[in-house]
Amino acid sequence: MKKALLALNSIKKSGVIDDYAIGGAIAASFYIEAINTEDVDVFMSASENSILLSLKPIYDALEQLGGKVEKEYIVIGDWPIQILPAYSPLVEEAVKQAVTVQYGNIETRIFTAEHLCAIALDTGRLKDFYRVASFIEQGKVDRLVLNRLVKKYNLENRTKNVLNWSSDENQ
Amino acid sequence: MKISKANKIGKINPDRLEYVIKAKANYRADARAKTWEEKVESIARMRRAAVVQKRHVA
Repeated sequence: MKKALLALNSIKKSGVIDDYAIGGAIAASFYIEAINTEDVDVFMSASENSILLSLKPIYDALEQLGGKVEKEYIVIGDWPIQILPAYSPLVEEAVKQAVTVQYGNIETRIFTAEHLCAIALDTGRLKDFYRVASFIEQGKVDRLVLNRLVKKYNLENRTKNVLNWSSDENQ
Repeated sequence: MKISKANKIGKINPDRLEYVIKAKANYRADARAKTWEEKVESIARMRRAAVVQKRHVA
């Protein structure tokens, strides 16, 4: 993972991308217990010109740093990285408001717990609802902030699929 | 520990149940106490194990 993060930081430093943020299971594992996943989801703002045109310059830059393209992934070290443009206003906001954290001695950016939960509700698979329930159960999400996101992005009808959604009195 | 026939039928053994609940709680507490790096490394181990398992099945 360190190799992947160093490569992402390198293409950010060299100006290939403005910024990035990690989402999905890897980001969720920062807040709650480890969640099995096949890849690392790396999101970039869709406002970046390179993203609007093609992901190729990003993949090319990562290949020069030792990455190998395999299907929709670029494998760096042990990890397949999936580069994704922010595909909705919610994800765009998540990229903008991502928080800077440390992975060992390497700085990186991940989605906030609240954005991860809102995106999980929006994605709407069984495992996504379970993930939201885990955040709530472990007290790792600010319910007021999450509720604001749920209202803002019209996700109210999805919350009924989260078993413990109403368990927190402070929501 | 001897399991009575009644418990076998009902599949409920209070002692065993208590042990399992405690073990699961300890496991989850340990899993949550890990650093992000440790958690990512454990995900990597799960991925490697899945690859080995797929090869074995194939």
